[in-house]
Amino acid sequence: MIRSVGLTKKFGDFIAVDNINLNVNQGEVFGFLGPNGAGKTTTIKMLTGTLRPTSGSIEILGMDMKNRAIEIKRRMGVAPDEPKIYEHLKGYEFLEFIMSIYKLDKAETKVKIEELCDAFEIDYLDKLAGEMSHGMRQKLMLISVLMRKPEVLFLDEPTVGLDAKSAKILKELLIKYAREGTTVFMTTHILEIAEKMCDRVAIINRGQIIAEASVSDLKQKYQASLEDIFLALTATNDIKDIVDSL
Amino acid sequence: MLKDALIIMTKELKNIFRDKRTIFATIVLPLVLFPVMFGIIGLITKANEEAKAKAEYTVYIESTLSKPDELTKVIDEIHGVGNFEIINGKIDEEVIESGSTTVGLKVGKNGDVFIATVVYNSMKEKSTYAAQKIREALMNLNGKLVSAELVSRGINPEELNFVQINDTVVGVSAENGNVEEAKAKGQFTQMLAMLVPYFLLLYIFAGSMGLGIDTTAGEKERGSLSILLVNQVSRTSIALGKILYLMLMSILTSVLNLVGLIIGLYLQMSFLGEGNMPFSVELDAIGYLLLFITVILLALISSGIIIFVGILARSVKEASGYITPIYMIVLLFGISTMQSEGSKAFYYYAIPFINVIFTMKDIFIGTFSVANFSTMLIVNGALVVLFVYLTAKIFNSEKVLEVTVE
Repeated sequence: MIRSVGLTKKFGDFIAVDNINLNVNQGEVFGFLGPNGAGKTTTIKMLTGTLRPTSGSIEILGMDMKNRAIEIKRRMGVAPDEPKIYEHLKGYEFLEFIMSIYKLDKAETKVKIEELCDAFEIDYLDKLAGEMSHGMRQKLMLISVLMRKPEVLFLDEPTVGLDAKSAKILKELLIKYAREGTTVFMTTHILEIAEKMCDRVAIINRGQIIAEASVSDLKQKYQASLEDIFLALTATNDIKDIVDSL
Repeated sequence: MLKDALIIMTKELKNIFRDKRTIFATIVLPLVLFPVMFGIIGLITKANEEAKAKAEYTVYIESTLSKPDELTKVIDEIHGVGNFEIINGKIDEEVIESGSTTVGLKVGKNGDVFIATVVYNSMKEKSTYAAQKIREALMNLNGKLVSAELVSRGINPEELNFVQINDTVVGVSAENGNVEEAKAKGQFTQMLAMLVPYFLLLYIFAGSMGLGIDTTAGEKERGSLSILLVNQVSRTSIALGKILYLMLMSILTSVLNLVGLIIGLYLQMSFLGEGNMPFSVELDAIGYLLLFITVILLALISSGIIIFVGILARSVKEASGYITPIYMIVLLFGISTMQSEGSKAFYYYAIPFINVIFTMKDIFIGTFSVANFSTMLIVNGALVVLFVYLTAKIFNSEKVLEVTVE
């Protein structure tokens, strides 16, 4: 469903992503974990066709991103880490804009929007995006993606800014979608979320994948919690010393 | 592709018309600013002219005329042109310099010829006006003296006209062949041919600068460009959608500015008592169509250049820095061709911007040529296609688009 071979991205001499091979299956919730600056967003940007890789190939839904980007984008959904919505558009105008781009059936999509708005307690669609809080815009962005129920979902830190109830609903919904066949590729800094939601995780550090397995396999292999494994693998396990020195 | 471009254009229009400041600057300001500005100028000028005409002036006359009736004739003529108090005596230049409504007249005779010197303060408006009126009075006196001399020699002054000039104005239609009306229409058309291309060029380019930078470099700065890039829209559609949006906005801005300007000029002329200027243009339906095509092309080229440069820049500040020199060049084109007439050599129609100015002049003054128009059409059309292509290419360039590393 999502496949990358030798995916590399260089910015000048700096290697942001180094020879990454990924293989995410249909109906899988895949967690892409890593500390800040590890290369998560760069990888997502390449997988979603926003950035061109320096080398390597990407295949989504069996199609090559290089040659069939528009067709892939039609069948996938992307929620970036920052919900940067046009500030002078009202909530419903933004959703209508996305509906027009994807040529969605208006009546059918409106029903879907209403269901999602009820679930996420969104009653501000007639408000300008510029007047919304980060969390409100995040929910709006998520709805603009979920209303299409794409076959592949890329979510960069999807729970950031969401209240507890909305975050819980999103997590459950993503699991439900995955069980129905949607492939979910998400990044998160909250390891509990990855532990509870993801079928498999990959940990990226300094542009390289340093671990890739199911959460249970990782825990069994290292005999530790996902958080401890993550901190150990990304060389950030000196937390106690840091705290003691403060 | 065009359908997606139109969706993006509609989104941009919705986005911009939600901004009250933009609505005010784009629609309200041009329609209010020029009429108010020119109206106030007209009112002030009118009040000024009336004040000058109503004012009482003092004329010091220093006469060396030997016959008293000769001085009387001069004084009578002065009284005939305005409200003048006459004081006979030596002229004190300091008094004239310090007084605002004071002038002096030194008058004498050399043989049969009156020799007159007007003394006034050219720094003061009313003193200058009074001097002008005194000159007018002396010219009236000259006319009367010449007529009297001719009559005394048995010659009818009317019979001294050996050349009679009549005008037949062509190219401009007037009711019942009214020559004065035709002349006025011709003058108005000349004025339009001079002003309209210049102002359209100026407003279309200037009007699209701010909006163009906002929708390109501004979106890059705000990060909202990524919404378009991750969705099912081709980069060419994004480029075309933004160019179309900017084209519409620049045409709207320029038309509103032009309407405001014409209303303003009309108000000014009405206040100054020159409201008889015929506000009609000698253009048929084809003329308007050609003008419309030319304006659209101008707007497309301007939008294409601004979107291209805007998307090249990394920030709004940088984009402004790139576009300002281009604007100065466009401004120079406009100023340098303002006084020129239409129908220039063929190569003028191959130079972007200049070709639009001369085509508009040709359309207004009736020197339109299919060959020149076609050249303008091909050159500008090709340029628009080139800029859409280049902008779409740039949208594929990561060096130009926002790049964040995590």
